[in-house]
Amino acid sequence: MKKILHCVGEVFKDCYKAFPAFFLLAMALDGLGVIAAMLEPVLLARILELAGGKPVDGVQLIQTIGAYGICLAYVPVSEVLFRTASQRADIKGAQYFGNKLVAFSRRIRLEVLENPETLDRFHRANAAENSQFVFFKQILLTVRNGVTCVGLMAVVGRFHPVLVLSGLLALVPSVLTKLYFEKKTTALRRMQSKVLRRLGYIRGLFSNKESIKEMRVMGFESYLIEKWNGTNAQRVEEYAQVNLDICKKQVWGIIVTNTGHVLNIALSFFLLIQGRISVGAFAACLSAFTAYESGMTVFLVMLFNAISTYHVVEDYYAYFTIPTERDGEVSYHPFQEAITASDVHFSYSGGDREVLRGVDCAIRKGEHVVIVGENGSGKTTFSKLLTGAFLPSQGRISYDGLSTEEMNRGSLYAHYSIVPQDFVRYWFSLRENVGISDLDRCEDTEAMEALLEKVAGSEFLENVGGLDVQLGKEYGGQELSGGQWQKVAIARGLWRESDIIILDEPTSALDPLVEYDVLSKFAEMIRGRTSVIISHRVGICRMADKILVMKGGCVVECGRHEELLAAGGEYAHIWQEQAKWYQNG
Amino acid sequence: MRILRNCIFCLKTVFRYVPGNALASVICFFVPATFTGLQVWLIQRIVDGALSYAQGTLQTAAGLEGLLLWGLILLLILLLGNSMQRVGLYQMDLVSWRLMERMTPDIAKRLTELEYASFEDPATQNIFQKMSGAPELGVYNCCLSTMFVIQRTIVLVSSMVVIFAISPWIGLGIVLIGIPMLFLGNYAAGRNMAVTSASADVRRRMSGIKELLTDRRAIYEMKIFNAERLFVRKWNTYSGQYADIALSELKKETAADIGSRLLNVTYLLFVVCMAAAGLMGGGLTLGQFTAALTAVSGIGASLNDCNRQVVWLLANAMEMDYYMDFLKLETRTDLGRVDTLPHYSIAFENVSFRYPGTRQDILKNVTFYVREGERIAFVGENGAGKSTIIKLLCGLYEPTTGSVTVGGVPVRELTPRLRTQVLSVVFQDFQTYQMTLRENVAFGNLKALEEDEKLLQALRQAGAEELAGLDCHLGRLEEEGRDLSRGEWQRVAMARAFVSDAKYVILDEPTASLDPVAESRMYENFSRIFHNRGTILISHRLASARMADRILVLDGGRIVQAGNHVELMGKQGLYRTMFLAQSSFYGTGTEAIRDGSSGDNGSIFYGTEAEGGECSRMAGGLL
Repeated sequence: MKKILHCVGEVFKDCYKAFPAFFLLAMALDGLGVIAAMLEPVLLARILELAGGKPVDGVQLIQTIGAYGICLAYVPVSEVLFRTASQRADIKGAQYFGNKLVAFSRRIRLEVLENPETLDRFHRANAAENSQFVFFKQILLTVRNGVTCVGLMAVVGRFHPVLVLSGLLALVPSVLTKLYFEKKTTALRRMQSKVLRRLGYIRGLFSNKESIKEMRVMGFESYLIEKWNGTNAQRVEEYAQVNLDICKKQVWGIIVTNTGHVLNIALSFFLLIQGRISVGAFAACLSAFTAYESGMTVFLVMLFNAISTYHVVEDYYAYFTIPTERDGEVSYHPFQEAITASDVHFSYSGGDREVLRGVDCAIRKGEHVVIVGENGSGKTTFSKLLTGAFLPSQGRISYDGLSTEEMNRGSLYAHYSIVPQDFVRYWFSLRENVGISDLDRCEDTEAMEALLEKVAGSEFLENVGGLDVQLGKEYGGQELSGGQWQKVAIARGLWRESDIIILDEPTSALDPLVEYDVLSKFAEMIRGRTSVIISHRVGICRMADKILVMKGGCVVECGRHEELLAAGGEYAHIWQEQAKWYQNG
Repeated sequence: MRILRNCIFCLKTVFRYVPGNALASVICFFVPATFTGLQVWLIQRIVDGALSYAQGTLQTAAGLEGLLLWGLILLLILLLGNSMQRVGLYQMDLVSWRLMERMTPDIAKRLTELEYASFEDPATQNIFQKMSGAPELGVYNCCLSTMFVIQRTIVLVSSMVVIFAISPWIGLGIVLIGIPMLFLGNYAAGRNMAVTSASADVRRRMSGIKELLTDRRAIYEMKIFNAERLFVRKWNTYSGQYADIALSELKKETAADIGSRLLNVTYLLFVVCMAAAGLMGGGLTLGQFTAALTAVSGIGASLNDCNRQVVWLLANAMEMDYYMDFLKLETRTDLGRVDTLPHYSIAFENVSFRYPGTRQDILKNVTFYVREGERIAFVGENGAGKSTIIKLLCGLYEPTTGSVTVGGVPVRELTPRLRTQVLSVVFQDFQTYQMTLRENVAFGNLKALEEDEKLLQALRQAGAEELAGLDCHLGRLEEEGRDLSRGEWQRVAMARAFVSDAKYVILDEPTASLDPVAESRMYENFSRIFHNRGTILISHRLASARMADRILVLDGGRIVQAGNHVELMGKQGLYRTMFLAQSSFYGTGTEAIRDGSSGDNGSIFYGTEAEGGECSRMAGGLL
C-alpha cells in the first residue's frame, strides 16, 4: 500500500512538472464535475416540486431549469476541454518521460545490465510508453467517480436514510464479482504469459527469412506447427474453463445488481406512497440511482484499469532504482606509465560463477598487447574492467598506481577508445556513426574522410555515398555489409584520439585480403598509442610487444611470441593449432 | 470501398472458422441493443403511473397491479439485456481463442507454401513483419469493431424512436444536430489519423532512440565516448518534430470537436427548454419529461461513442490491407514430385543469377560439377557470390539462366523430403532456436529426435558435449533456459550437420565464431566424419580449404580458378595471393613450432620454405 501511494505520488509530481497547466485544469474540471453530478438530482427534485406546486412560481422554475440545463451541459463542455488539453499534455508527457529516461541511462552501472533479470526490467521500463500519463488520467477518473457516488448517496440519504443502505447493498455483489474476476484473470495471465511467449516465438519463426530458409532446407516445418498446436491446445483448455467460471459468476452478479436497482426504485416508490418523500424526491432518487449505477461502473472499471497500469508504471519507476555508477573522486591525468592488474576477480551481479579468477598483469605505455584464449576465458570481460566500465569484485586495476575505483570514470574514459566485438550499428548518418566517439570534431569533414580512406579504402566513401548518408535499412537508410560495418566500427574507434585503444575481435567478419589490409593499416595508425587487441587470429601475436594468454579466467602466460613459443605452454599449443593449417606442405 | 471489402472479408473469415460462437455473439450483441429505447419508455410509464398513483388520481388495485407488472417487465429486460451482453463478450472471447487456434496453423502453413524469394524481397518485408505479430487478432478486431458499430447504431435508432414518440420536435432536433455532429466527428477522426500516419516515421525513430538507450552495448559505447548528448539531441529533435506535426493537426481536430460539442450543448439546452415548456403547458407528463431528459443527455454521448467506434473500425479495417496482400503472394513452385534419383552428382551448368527486382548479375555463367562423395571448397571475397550458389543448390531460387541439377534432375523438381536427404546445410546466419538442445540438434534430422545416443554423438563431434543436458532449454525464452555464446551456438548448429544422414553437407563459414583450438578441432572432425560424404565448404579461413579435393575460386560472380591446394599454390592467381596474405601471420621460416597436440616433446616442424620470405615481408610491414 505504501509503495502504491509512493508511486502515485511520484506520478503526480512528474505530471505536475511535465504539464502544470493541464494538471491544474484537470483537477478543477474534476472538482466541478463532481459538484455538477451531485446537483443534477437535487435540481430535478426542485423542478418537479416547483412544477407540481400550486401556484407555480414561474421565475424560480425557469431559474432552476436553467441551472439544471447548465449541469447537463457541463459534461460535454468539460469533456472537450479535457480532451483538447490532454492531447497537448500527452505530447509534453512523452517528451518529459522520455527525457528522464535518457538522462538516467548514462548513469547506469554497466555490469548490472549483464544480469538477465535486470535487463528484462530495463526493457519493461522502456515499454512503459507514456503509461504514467494514462495512469494519471485513470486515477483522476477513479477518484472523480468514487466521490460522485458518495455524493449521490449523500443526496439520496437526505431524502431518506434507508435508501443509502439499499444503494450500498446493490454495490456489494458487483464489487465482489469484479474482485473475483480480477484475481482469477491476473493469475491466469501470469500463468499463461510464458505459454504465450512460447507461442509467439514459434509463430515468429515462420515469417523470419533466416529460419524459413533452414526450415525448408532441413524440413522441420510440420514439427513446429505441431508443437504450436500442442502448446496452444493446453492453453485454450485452461483459459476456457476459467473464463466460463468467471462469466457464470458475473451473470449472477448482474442479476443481483439489477434486481437491487429495481428494488431501489420500488423502495422509493413505497416511501412515496407512504408519504415519507415528495414526488420531486422520488424522481430525484430515480435519477440519482441511474447516475449512481453508471458512476459505480466507471469507478470500478477505472480502478482496475489503474491497478493494471500501476504495474507498468511501477516498472518505469523501478528502472530508476537500478544502481548507478559508483564514481570515484580523483580525476585522472594523462596516462604516463602503466596499467596494472593485481589479483583481479570478477563475477556478474546475480551470478556466483567467477568470470575472472585472479588476473595479474601489467601493460606499459606504448605497448601493443594481444590477448588470446578460448571462447569464454574472460577476455572481453577483462577488457571492460580495463576501461573502468566494470569494477573488480576483488583485487584492483590501477593506472599509474591510481585504482579505477577511486577515480572519476569520465576522466578515465577520456583516455580511452574502444572497438567492441558487438559494436552498435547506429541508424544515424555515416558521419555520426564515426564521429560519435568524439562529437566535438564531428564536423571536421576532411579529417574524417582521410580516416575512412585509410581504414576502409578509397572506394568506400564513394560506395556508401558520402558522410551524410543515413545508414541502416530499418530506417530507410543505406544498408552496409557486415564487413563494411566492421570498418565503420574500426574508424569509430580510431576517430577518438586517445592514449589507449582496445579492439575486441576487430576483423572477424572480413575476408582474408581485407583482413590483412585492415590490420596493417591499423597497425600503422595506432603507432605511438597503447593498444590492447583481443583476437582469435593468433597470427597477429607475432607483432605484439606482449601476449596475454587467458584460460579459465586467469592469465596463464605472458610474454613475447618467441618467448612463449619456446616455453611450449598454452600459447604454443594455440599457435600450433592454427598455424599448422597454413604451413605449406 | 477497400474498407468495406476488408470488413466483409473479416466477418466472413470469422464465420468460416467459428460459425457457432460468432452467431451466438451476434445475437447477444444485437438483441439487447434494441432494449435501450424500450427501457426509456418503460421508465416513463412507471414514473407516470407511480405519480398518478401517489397523487391519488388513480389509486386503485388495478393501477398498482399494472405498475408492478411494468416494474417486473423492466426488471426482466434489464436482467436479460445485461446478461446477454455479458454472454456476448464471453462468446467473443471464445471466438478470439478459437480463431487463434484454428487460423494460426493455416497461416503458418501458408507461409511455408510461399516462394522463398518473397521473404528476401525488400518490397514485401513489411508484410512479413506484420505477419509475425498476430494477424488473426487483426481479423478479430476488425470483426469486433464492425459489430460494435452496428450495435451502437441500433442503440441510437431505438432511443430515437422513443424520443420521437414523446415529442417530434425533440426528435427532429436530434436528426438536425446528429448529422453535422457525425460529419464533424469524422473530420476530427480524420485529422487524428493524419497525425498517426504523418508521424509514423518520427515515432519509429523516437522508439529507435529509446531502444538504443536500453541496449547495453550502446550504453557501453555512450559512456566511453561521452556521447549521450548525441542521443539527447536526437531525442529532442524527433520529439519536437512529432509535437509540431501533432499540434498543427490537433488544432483542427480540436476546432471540429468544439463545434460538435457546442451543437450538443445547444441541443441539450433546447430540449430542457422544450421539455420545461411542455411540462408547464401540460403537453408532457412528468414521466415523459424525465424520460426525454435522460434519453437526450445520453444521446450526445452515444453519438460520440458511435463516432469513436467508426474511427476504430476504419483503423482496424485499413490495418488488414497487409493481410490481403499476404494472401496474394506467389506460392512456391519448388515442391517437385521426383522422389528417387539414379545418382547424386551435382551439376551447375551455365548458371547466371540475379535477385528478382535487381539488375546486377550475382553469378555469371557458372559451370561446375560435384561427384558423389567429393569435397569441394569455395573461396572468394565478400560478395563474390558464394552464398548465392548455396541458395540455388537448395532450390530456394530458380536460376535466371542455366540449370542446377542433382542426379540429372533440376533441384526444384525434387520433393522437399528428397532434398533434405541429399543436402544438409549450416548457413552462415544459422538460427538459434529457443527450444531444448535436443530439438536444436534434431532439426538437422528429425528422425533422430528420440535417439539420444545419436544426438550426443553429433554434439561430441561438434565439440559441444559438455554444453548442457539434451532436454535443457537454450536461450532466454524460458526462465530456466541456458543462454549460449555465439561460439557455443555455432557448435550446436554444426551438430545439426553431424546428425544428418544427407549425401552432402554444406557449411557456410562454419568456424567464424570459434577460438583457434576449437576451429582446428572442427577442421579435423570434418575430414574424419565426412570422409564418405560429399562436403561443400565456404570459408574465409583458407586453412579449411586445404582438405578439399577441389577448390573453386570465385571472383565477381565467376569461377576464376579450380584445382586442389597444391595446384593452386603452384600458379599465380587470386588463391595464392589470398593464402599468402593469411599465412603471412603464421609462417616465418625461422621459428620452430612445437607440436602442441602431443604435449611436451612432440615433433618439431618448421614453417614455410619458399613463401616464407615473402610472407615475412608482408607481415613485417604490420607493426
